[in-house]
Amino acid sequence: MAKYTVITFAPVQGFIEKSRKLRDLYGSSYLISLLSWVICQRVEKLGYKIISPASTNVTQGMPNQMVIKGKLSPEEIIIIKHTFDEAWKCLVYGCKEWIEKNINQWEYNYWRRDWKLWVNHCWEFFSASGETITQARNNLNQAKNSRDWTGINWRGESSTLSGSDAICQPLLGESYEPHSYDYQGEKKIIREFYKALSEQLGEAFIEPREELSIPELVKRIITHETIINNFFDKIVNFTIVDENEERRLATRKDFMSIADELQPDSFRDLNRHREDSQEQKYWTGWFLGDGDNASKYFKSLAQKAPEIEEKGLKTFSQQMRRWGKNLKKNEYTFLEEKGRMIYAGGDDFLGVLYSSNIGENELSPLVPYDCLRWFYSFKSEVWHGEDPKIITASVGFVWAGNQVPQRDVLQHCHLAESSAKSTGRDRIAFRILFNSGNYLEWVCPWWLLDTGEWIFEVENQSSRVCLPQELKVDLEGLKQDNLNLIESYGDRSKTLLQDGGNWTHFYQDIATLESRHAFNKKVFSQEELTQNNVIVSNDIALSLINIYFGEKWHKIISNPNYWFNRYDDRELLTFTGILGDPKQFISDYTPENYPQLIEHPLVKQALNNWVINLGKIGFYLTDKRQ
Amino acid sequence: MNNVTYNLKYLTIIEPLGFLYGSAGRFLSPENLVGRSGAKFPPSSTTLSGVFAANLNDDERKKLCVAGPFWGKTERVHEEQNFYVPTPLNYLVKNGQIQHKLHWDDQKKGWYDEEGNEPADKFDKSTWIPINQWDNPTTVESPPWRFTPHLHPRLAQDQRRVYIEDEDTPAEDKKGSLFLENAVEMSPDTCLVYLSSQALESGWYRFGGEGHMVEITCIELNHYLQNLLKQPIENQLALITPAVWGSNRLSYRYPVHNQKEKSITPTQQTSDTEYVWNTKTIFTSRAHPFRYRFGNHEDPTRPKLLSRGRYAVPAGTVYVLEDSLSQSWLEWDESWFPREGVSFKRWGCGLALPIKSLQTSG
Repeated sequence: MAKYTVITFAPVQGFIEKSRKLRDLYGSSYLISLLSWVICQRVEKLGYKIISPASTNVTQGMPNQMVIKGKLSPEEIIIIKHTFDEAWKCLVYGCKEWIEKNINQWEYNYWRRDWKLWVNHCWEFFSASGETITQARNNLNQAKNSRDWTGINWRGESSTLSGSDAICQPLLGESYEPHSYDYQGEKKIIREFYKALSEQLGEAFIEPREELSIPELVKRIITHETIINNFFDKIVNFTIVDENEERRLATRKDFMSIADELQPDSFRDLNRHREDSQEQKYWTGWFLGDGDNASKYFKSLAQKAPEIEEKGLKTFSQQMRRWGKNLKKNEYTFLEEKGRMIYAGGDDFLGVLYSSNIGENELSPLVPYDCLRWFYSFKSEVWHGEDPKIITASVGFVWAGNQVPQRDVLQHCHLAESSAKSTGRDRIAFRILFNSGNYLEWVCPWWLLDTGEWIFEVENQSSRVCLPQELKVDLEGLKQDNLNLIESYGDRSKTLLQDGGNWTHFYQDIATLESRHAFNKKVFSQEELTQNNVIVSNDIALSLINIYFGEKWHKIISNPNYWFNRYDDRELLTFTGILGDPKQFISDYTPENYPQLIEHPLVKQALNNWVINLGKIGFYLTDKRQ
Repeated sequence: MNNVTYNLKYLTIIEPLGFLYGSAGRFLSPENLVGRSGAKFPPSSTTLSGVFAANLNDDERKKLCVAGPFWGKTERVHEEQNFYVPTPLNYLVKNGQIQHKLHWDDQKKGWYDEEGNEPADKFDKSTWIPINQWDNPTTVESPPWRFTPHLHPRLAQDQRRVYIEDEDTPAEDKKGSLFLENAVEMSPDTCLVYLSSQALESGWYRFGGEGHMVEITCIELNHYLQNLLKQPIENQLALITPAVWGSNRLSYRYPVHNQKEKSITPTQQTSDTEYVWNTKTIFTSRAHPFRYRFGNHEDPTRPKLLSRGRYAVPAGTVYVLEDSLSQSWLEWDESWFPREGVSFKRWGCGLALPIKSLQTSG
């Protein structure tokens, strides 16, 4: 019987989320990759084979769950954990020593203890084994149920980035009495310290007014070439990297790539809320996504023999690693020079769209319509491309106001992604996020936007999701002109969007009708729903579709057969409906309930809302002005 | 150590009059736009304790104990004292229903459902169950509040007009004349609920940040609740409020015998730390920051001091212990709780109820 071991560490999302600058995002995703890489190197040194992630000699874009062939002994796990801890310690102390050496107007007598606490208590480390990969994964989840954190308490004001944890400053740890705390005194030192750091590293790394905690400072400084260089030197002595084996391992060049990439002169940071900045502030587009139901896919593999499961996982990981690496390497091709990929590791990705190239290094701010059109080919070209993926992807896209803090933008990205997931997957959620914190959202399956999808053949075994034959027939007429839903829009004078069609016509109709309560009730009481005595009509919404998007789209959108997801007997998605999963509306839905489902007030309301939100969000997304 | 016996005798009901405040951490400023990510609601028991402290005399204040937060449907709370507490994390909720109740299997060393499976799906977070179904919950509710960004004019301190900066304002003090509050709107007919040792006179009070007004009513706990709180905890328990365990330097997932700070050094903490409970396992999630501001009733004009920042085990955490505690939370030893000025027991930290419906097989 085959045996497998799974290793992971936490927190990952929480670690990445505490970000103010683009640099923080890069820094944290790089750190996590680096730590995963360290684990993989140690595992391979111990003579084990890693099934996932594939290609362990690349230091960037590494997912943080390692699936290993073989059952590792507790002693071996301790060795791996020790290597992981040592690597983190090297990174943290590398930063500490750099500061002590370069910002030397203070005696750093007190802060040693706090740095040590962060060396010891930043990460939770988990491992588990099993007869099959699925079993090992289940055991790992069992282990994770108890978590393994130790909280580092702090005194005084908190980091301005996370709102918790102590601000790293030269007198950190001098006193632990909250009652004797002198904020004004501390504030003066904090200002001087961050000013000195900023002068040494440059404002691209740290601004003089920031107040960061130790791990946040580490994320920031780790992208500095001196620190990475230093880390590489240490890790060479550290037995997992052997200069003689370099062909198999990551080279110094790999390590340094992040420093090159983030060099202040080449790295156009999106300085999102600099107060003194003369430069104009622009709206930016953020997208966050990942593959759909990877775990369900793995589960379907698990019903077969362990060898097949192992092979399937390996193939999957190879494909995703290849995709991530290419995406990162060729981001200019993929993003059409509109933005940057922040990470693409495993089936996760995060990117930002903010400018378009108008020649000789001149960048001009992006308009929302550019972003919208980029997503027209996301699934068919960026996700699938020439290497169709086994699973589909869901994306949350946020078009964010220039004043929205980065952490909020990221949270909205997560929320948008989860809207895309929870309404049925294989789709994109568009969010317009205003400076006031309000937002609009519209969620749409890829096939309504991506005309590349319409030629995606069923014969291709790598994707199970395909358009039903009848829908293909319906799309046939549209296919000739390659007009997706949005581009089919024609205003009152029948002018298409590409010819300057005015979205306001549709938007105004929606707004007027909504203010006259033409779309029925918004909220139903439990009684109304259970007694089934509310009638919601889609007539008005569908008529609007007919008027502005034409008969062909009206036929498609009004057909209840295209409203819902379809699944095969292993619960894997086979078709993506406009409204998504039927269980959102009837939690115990079975196909026998189909007649009730399509008449259900919540379904009808969802369709109305879908049209209303299309009208509202389209108003912003089709904007061609800066 | 002055051992005060805390008792929880009252239900403190807080009905919002309009918006409530929903941010945590540092106050909003240009360099700290916490916005959405700083959203935290409902307010912790320390917030309510501030309202009490301002209205009690010294003797009463010493005996004060407040636990929460919980919430309820106002009518039901008044009529039958039924309110909602965080769902124990081993009850897996999906689409508003409890799908599995996991139990700890001693032999297989894992959490399993009724059929002995390990559910691998994704489940709903932050759900609540009615306290009158504590022993066998069948219904689940989602929280009745939502965050609404709310733009406020920043008023000048000495005049009744919007604050406008002049040219002399130093750059670092520039704030703008508007600020964004992450306000919380509770659905009508719902209220926040806390347990308390003392009663406040019914009336309107300022509660939480930004001075939002609330109506507070205190009623005496009925027998069901009193008995529930007094039920001795054997070896399975679930927290219904966050628990802060550990020393002044570190926060842990388990209560520790609070030793002198100096004996706990960072490197030795594990070997030196003596856990109070012999724990088989816990079912928990990630740590939540826990801190509050000290009241200063002697000189209210002085800036309020920040307490030490700590980390709490989230409410809903389930502990399975080797040995029976045979004590209700009310009787738990104060030395299990961190102490700084006062014992953390007075914030109702780690208020726990026994879980009986779960069977440990094997």
